Amino acid sequence: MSHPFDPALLAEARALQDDILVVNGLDASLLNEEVVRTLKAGGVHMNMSTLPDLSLSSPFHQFMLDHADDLTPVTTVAGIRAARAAGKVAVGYCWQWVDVDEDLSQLAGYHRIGLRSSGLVYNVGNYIGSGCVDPNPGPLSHYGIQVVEALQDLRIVVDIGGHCSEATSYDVLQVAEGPVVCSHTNPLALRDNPRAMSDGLMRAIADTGGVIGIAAFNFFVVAEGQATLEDFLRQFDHMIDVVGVEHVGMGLDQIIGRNDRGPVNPVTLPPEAYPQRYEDWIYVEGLDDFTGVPLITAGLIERGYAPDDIEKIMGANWLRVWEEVWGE
Amino acid sequence: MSGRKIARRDFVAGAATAPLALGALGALGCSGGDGDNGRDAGPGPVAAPGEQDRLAQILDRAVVVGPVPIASPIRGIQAERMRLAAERRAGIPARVASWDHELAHVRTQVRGARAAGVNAFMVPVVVGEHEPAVSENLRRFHEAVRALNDEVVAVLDLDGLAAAVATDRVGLIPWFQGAKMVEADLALFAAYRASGAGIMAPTHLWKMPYGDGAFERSDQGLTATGWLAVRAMNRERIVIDLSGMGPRSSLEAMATSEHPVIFSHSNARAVHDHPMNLSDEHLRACAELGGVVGVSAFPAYLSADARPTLDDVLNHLDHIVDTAGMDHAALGLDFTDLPRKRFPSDPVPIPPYRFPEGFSGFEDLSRLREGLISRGYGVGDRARVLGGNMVRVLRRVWGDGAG
Repeated sequence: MSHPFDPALLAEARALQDDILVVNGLDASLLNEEVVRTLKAGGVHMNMSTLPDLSLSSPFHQFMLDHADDLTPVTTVAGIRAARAAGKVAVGYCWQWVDVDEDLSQLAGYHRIGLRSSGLVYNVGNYIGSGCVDPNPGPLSHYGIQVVEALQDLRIVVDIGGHCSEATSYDVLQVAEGPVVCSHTNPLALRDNPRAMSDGLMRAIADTGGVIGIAAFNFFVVAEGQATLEDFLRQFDHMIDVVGVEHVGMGLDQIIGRNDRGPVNPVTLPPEAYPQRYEDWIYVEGLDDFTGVPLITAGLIERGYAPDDIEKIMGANWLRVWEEVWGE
Repeated sequence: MSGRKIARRDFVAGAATAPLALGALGALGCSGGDGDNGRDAGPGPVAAPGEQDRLAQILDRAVVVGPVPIASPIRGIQAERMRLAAERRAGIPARVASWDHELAHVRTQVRGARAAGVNAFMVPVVVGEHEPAVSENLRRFHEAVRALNDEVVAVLDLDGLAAAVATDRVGLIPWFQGAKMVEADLALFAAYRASGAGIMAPTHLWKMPYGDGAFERSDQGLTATGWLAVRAMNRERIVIDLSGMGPRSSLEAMATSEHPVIFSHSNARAVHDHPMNLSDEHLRACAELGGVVGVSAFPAYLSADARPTLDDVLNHLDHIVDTAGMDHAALGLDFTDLPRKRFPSDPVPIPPYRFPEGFSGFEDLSRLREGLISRGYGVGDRARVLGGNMVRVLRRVWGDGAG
């Protein structure tokens, strides 16, 4: 039996990626040289990039111009395909929570400069709803309902992120129409962490036609030590068992090139959910950056998934949902 | 209405016939230092003869109430936005107020308070804003205080309160409703405390990062951040104001607070069942912590009637006194013209509000005093309700070693 690290299998995986469109549904790296380099090296064609400081004055607009030979900002699936055809990596802009000082009229402007997907709550309750580490999780607020409606009016993807509480997440599914996604989470059944998601909620997301991205954050996969690729691939197996191959994707949630150091804010990143020093924020073996993406593809091949299914898992599921929500 | 059976702790029969003349400090029979201390034998919270603590002597008879907005620049940008939107809906043409005009408005309001014998009241400086609006509001607050220096004092601590009383000026206590500008960055409480946030409501009427508001769809209790925020506010000696917080969140906040809390403008559910009002359990919990509940004159919180009366105000006050005790009642007044209705389901009308006939501003405090007398509140009780209780909380939390 071959192994995902087997050179022949890796070559096969890399070749398969050249035939399909590989999409990372959520990245937390911000934009930097390391991201660009490893996206290309890892054969990733589209990266949904978290840009919490998205604004007219954000420095990454210039970064995108400076890297126009390698990167293309995209707001449509047609744009993603065109970037792929031109040999460039497509970059989409997203948020992990909506921060507009309760003034939803600002959303149109953010949409105009590229916002196409947004989370709602980040771990701890805010004006919109409750977070995954809140002691008493509850539904969306009055304002939260307006946020979901405003996002949907603008055809911005509603992302329950994995950072919302399940109570808020279920409420979002009640309010929203059409596909809702969870860009980056992990199955609670395999690792008990407040950030992880129950099988029931995953099924409910799949029922909307949405997709669930799997995160490679080490502490969400194992409680102690280094998560292996095998640990990670088991998460794919489990989620595919629960929701089927149409509703699973990558949401690797890496922090490539950020070099955060020191203690985290324990209020928003409490010890039951996160390592308390940034130095300990590590990833599944081989997945500290995008160069390890072919390992996932190889693992899926090795586990016997059909090429069509691998194409869905590695990107086509994201494209299906985005095409439906964004329109063309 | 005086037929109601009341056993006030220090009821003095003669109090009912005490002079009711309204004028400078002392008109309410509870502002110390002007020679009328001996008129009524009620013990009250007044310092005993020989008391060496002059600060305490000054403060114990202070009339401290609130919150009452004083002018739009200090009301805050979001509140202004809501007010303008509400006025637009009501067909009222937009008004653009100049700074001089606003200062004149502040002066009128302050003189009204002074004439009514009010030593200090809470002024909304933040009504749900984030930065940079908070700093802008603080700037305007301090500018107004400086411009009206001969008539007002900013009350950021007990010295400020004592200065207001001693110099016969009106103390303005900056009041922060909501802590958006802090959120999870709890170290910021220290910075805002230093610039004036002596009293802060962790949430107001809707869901915020620390808990659910009273008008929310849910009543989920404090968030993970909320528990820590209460402790952080304790550490910084910020008076925690739980008015407008949802029932479960406010109970949990009281369970975790090490200091007395206030409900600056809330009434009793037993008298009028409204989401803003407090259950008996809440009233008792507040009393147990040593806190106070300030009665609101806001019509929707008083009664189901479109036009409540002063009797309704007194009914709420009586219930708070009967349930929480005489040491835990205060005056919230809440004479506001700010819009409170943000979502269609919010259980409040839009401005202009119909306050009780004859009880809609500082100038009507004399009627409240008459009402208190007729319901058997002695001079000491009146002193507690009108300010003594609130001052006790400020001293305990802000810290002069008392309480």
